[in-house]
Amino acid sequence: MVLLIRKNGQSEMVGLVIIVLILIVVGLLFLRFSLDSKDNLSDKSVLSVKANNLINAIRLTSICNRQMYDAIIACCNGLEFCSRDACQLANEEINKIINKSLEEYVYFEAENQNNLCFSINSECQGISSTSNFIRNNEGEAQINLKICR
Amino acid sequence: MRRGELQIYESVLVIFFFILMFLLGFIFFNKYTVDNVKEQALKYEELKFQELIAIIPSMYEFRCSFSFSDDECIDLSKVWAFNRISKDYFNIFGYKKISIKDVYPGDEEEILVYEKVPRKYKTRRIISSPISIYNTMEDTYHVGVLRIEWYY
Repeated sequence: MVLLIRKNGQSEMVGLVIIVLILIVVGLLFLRFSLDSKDNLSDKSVLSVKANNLINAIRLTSICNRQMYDAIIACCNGLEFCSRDACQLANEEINKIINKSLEEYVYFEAENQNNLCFSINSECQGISSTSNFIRNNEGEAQINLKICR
Repeated sequence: MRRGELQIYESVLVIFFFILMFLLGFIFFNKYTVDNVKEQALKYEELKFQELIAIIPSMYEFRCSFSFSDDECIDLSKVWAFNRISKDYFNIFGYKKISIKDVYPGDEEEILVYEKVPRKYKTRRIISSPISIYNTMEDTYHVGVLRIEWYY
């Protein structure tokens, strides 16, 4: 009888040890996944830097002895730029810049007082650049860029 | 063999087993800690490497400097000048190759900024980002791709 009780107690101990081991394994797995999410954060910050660098490069690029932001503002005001339709010109040239400088799929938009002037590619989920406000003698606009994931 | 002797042998065996277990545990723990430290060091180096795409365009050695303007761009004349003294920057950049490719509207010409490649390396990592480059001679802004290669 005493031997039976002792064996019963031992098997309970083994069960307890197994539960503790399972808890330790679950804890280690949780730690591993939480460390992985930190890596994702660093990837996000790299994409954010790329998005801001690209929108800045697009804004400043020289075109017809002026800069790309002049063409975008002309597009938002329905004007011509470089003897061409400003929207068509800006769309074509910005598309070229995006294709040549980044491998990722990029969404670009230019708007004036919440009215969309033109956009490149379709809206997506991703990492956005900070909004860039552009201004010259003809008017102003806002440009945004998003690297899709 | 007497019962007392048997118990002594049993105790010695148990102590030996515990010491063995302790040594194995210590060796395993030590290896795990060293590997972990190495991994953390590599992650830190990787983070520093990734940060370079934000740091290089804002370094005074390369960035445009105009009066009353805060345009963020890389001045090509500064890059060409830097090329001559780039060897002095080993403490900052280490074993890396940094180059800029003029992609729009240029002819994809590659401009070498810094290069120090080790004789032997296990692996190579590459990171790139678009940047605005300013050509002083033509007074024009182009789009370039800043490419950083890290050898380790």
